[in-house]
Amino acid sequence: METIFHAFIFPGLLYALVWTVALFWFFRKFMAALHKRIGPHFNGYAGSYQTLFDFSKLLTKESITPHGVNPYLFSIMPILAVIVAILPSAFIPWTQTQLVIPSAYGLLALIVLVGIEPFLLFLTGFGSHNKYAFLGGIRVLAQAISMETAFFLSALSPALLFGTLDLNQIVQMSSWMSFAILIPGFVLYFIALLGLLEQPPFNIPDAEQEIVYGFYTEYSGTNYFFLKLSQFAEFMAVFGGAATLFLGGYKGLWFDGYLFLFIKMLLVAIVMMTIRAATPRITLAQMLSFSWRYLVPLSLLNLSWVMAAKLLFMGV
Amino acid sequence: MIILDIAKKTLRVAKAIFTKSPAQKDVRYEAMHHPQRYRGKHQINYESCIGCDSCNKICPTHAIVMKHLPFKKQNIVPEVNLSVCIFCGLCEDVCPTKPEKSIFLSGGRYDMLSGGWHEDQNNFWVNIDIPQSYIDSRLEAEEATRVKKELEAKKREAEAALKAQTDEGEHQ
Amino acid sequence: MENIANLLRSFTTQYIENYKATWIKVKLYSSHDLLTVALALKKEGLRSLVTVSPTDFPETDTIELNYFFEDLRTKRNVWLKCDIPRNLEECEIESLTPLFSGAEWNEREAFSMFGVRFLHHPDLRPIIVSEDFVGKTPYRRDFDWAAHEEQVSQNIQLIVDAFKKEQSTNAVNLDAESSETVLNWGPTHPASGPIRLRVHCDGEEIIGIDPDIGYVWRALEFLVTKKDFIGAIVAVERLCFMDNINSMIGYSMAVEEIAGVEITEFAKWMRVILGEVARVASHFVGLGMFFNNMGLHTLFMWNMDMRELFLDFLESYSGARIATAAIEPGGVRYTLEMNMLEQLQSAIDKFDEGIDEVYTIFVKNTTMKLRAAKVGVLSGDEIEDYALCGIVARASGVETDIRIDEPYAAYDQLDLSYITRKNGAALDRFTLIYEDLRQSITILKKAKKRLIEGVENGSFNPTADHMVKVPKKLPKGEAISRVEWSRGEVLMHLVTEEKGTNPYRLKIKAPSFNHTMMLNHLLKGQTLSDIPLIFGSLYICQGDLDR
Repeated sequence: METIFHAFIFPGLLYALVWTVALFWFFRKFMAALHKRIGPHFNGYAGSYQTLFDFSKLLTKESITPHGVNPYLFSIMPILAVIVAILPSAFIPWTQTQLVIPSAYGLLALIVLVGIEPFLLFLTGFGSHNKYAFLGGIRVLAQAISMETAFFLSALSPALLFGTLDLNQIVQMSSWMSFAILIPGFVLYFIALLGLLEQPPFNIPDAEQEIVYGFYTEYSGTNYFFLKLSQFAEFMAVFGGAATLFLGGYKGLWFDGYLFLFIKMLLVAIVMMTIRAATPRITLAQMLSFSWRYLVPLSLLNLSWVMAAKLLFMGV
Repeated sequence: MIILDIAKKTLRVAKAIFTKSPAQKDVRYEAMHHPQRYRGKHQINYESCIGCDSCNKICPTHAIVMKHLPFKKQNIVPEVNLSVCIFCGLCEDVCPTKPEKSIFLSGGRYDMLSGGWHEDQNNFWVNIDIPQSYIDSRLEAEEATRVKKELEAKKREAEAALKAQTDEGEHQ
Repeated sequence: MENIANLLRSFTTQYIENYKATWIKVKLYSSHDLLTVALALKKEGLRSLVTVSPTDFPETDTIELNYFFEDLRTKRNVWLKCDIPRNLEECEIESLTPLFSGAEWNEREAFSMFGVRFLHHPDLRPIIVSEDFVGKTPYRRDFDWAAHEEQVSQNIQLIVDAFKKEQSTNAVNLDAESSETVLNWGPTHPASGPIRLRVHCDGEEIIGIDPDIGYVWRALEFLVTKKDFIGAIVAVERLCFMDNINSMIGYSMAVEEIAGVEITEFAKWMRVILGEVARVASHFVGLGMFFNNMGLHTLFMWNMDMRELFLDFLESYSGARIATAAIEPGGVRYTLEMNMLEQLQSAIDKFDEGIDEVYTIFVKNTTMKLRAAKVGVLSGDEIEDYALCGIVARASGVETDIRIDEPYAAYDQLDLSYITRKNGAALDRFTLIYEDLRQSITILKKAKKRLIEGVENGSFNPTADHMVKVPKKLPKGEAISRVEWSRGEVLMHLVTEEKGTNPYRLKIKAPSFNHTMMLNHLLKGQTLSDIPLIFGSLYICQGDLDR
């Protein structure tokens, strides 16, 4: 019974849906404010029903399966992508008591599950009988492999600092001192996050102006809705990881609780959106050279900094 | 360093949140900007139209069709097919009527909506509905002028005949 | 100019005349001399062949070809004509593409529209016209459009069959083992607009590009012959609706020259103001589209904010925001009321407030420079060879601006200077659009001040001076006029017949046509990510590409 509640209501399917709808609306209004526009305006107060209408429209549209693809591969991939994307949220401590799978290796599970997602996306691109989607799939693979290395290295630095892989313990042991030590790690984690989630300046696989829509090109209707849901669930997992590892999780100013975790995730989202409105895209070759020449060595340096700081400031 | 540059640009872009966007009006009900010369839906005045056919001749897309009326003179008025019209305003420029033109688009409506189907495009016209009273009054006026001309012609004939008689009488 | 006249006298010609200050008009006796004359002109320094324009004369059974040679450095130009027979078997002439690379597409267009065959042309295929017009000659005076348009379904079937055949030959020509493929960077692409590029690429590296244009072909040059001289402005303004006013100015100047009419000083200043407002409106969109192609939409949105007020001014003046139809032969179409200038002032004020932020955030953007500083480089020699113009030419250091070279309207009373950059990369073209925008606003401020002065001291009458009467029937003649359109130089060649009420032939030379010719040359060896970047930096508008 508990499992069904966790799988479908919180933090499972329904929670992911509500999160997607709310975050999508927030993204649109915030981008509009940055663009000196208004955004959705007419449906509901400040356009809050607009996303709901858009998603229900997607669900009622025809899911076109192109000629020449393997229909099982084509249609199963989005569902698999959603399941794999929602799984990491089972490991994040949402409140002091709510932790779906308490485990001593929570961080490792989080990282590995987030890392599997790009391979599924490559398969979506590979399975559509379309040159543009194939190019998009290849770009996803190249980007994911480069950015994930930096992502893993910077996500493991809190584990080094606190000496444990258990996410709940990491949250409980965090303090202002640990936040200050982990700031370089947070910056690196943030940049790698941009690369992993395909946001500007690294939105190369999703480059609308170059390769039509990358691996999303041939998907429409319910299939497309599931792919978008998996993308936002990935946001949720990665932002949750950022808040838990570096920003102190559910610890708040006067009381602890879910609200502060939500606010911290939203802060990370706001910074990501503002960077999105100010930076053009870079090419694949430039991204690869940036990642392997600067990002990965810097994250290795960060690991040594964390170890030195642990000795100096926190004792053994 | 590029990262510093990106951070600086991001901060500057973030200042745009505090500007108020002017696009607040609901343009389904009121226009943001509707000047006096706005080329909108045509208004045709059949009473002052003299039927010179200039608007038909200059229309670049042949959107104007002339409607025939049962008079002897000044017997055509324009009707406009709005799904062909490009709203260039040349018909308004050439109309010779004074003080106000008989066909003009300036200040016209901007929310011209036809129906949603292909057949509705054929019904997307500016039509002229002329009341029967106007037709009757014009026909009466024509009749009156015709009768008046006949009477005058008869009078002149009668005068000419009388003059010829008196001249004959004098000579005799 | 004397050198050119002496040079031309050494050939057999029908006449040599001086036409305006910088042009020499010459008609050759025989079309076989064309190659030698062209070679001699090229040695003399006239290295750009701008366009090739045939005119069809069925009464004398000839087609008269017009060639326009320009020397972009010293501003000397030659207008060369020659006659060739009209019937399709003998309608041929030597191609000038081996000497002037810019002639390649222009000769293809003359071939598709008039049936003129160019001998030794490297690749004489139809261009612009769709498959159902191949083999026919649409712009000749005796072509029956009505009969052609009755067979709609057969025409569509021809087009579909040709496309399917082309796609199947793609698969045949490519090696199955390699990663080479032919992509359609095509009309339903988010960044392309209505143009199709057949990209032959190996993975992400480009081997060759073959543009396929003609998706917006409205046959404007034919439509104009069906309307009278005033009604033709609605066809000419649709060259590109972003900057519709400068093309109307070019057409009106040609009509006024043939009619022998001089417009008032007030109308000249009004044309300057309207032309610069249209240029500003077009440059806002150009700046925004460059960044859109890199995935950043913020600049486009901010520019729309500023552009709306300029469009409000155009709407108050003429009644429409985009297709204004505000310039007619004889002056400008509407009277001016002084409160409209206040609206212009509020637009300029909003521009001044917002433009510095645009400069700091977008023009000096390091990430953009990382992408655009080294790609799409054009040298000055290539500019002359392909006859490029406008912003693309100035970004490579060639000083050419029609407002200064051959001043029209009131530009001779304004003190303009050339704005150039040296390197000719995509970044320089983008920066130059921004500099051009600022120069236009400076011109606007000066012109507005002059106009208000003129009205106040009584020399301009805004309600009566706007138009001079142009006769309905024009005498036989021909004229060319050049204007600096926002994307380059537009050259209009107008031919009228005796007591004609319609133009006999109007040739519009579009700058984007020559610019699109460069794509293959610029994009060889680059990656797929560079296509939207370079395409956007060349400031191409599909409206004037296809006309």
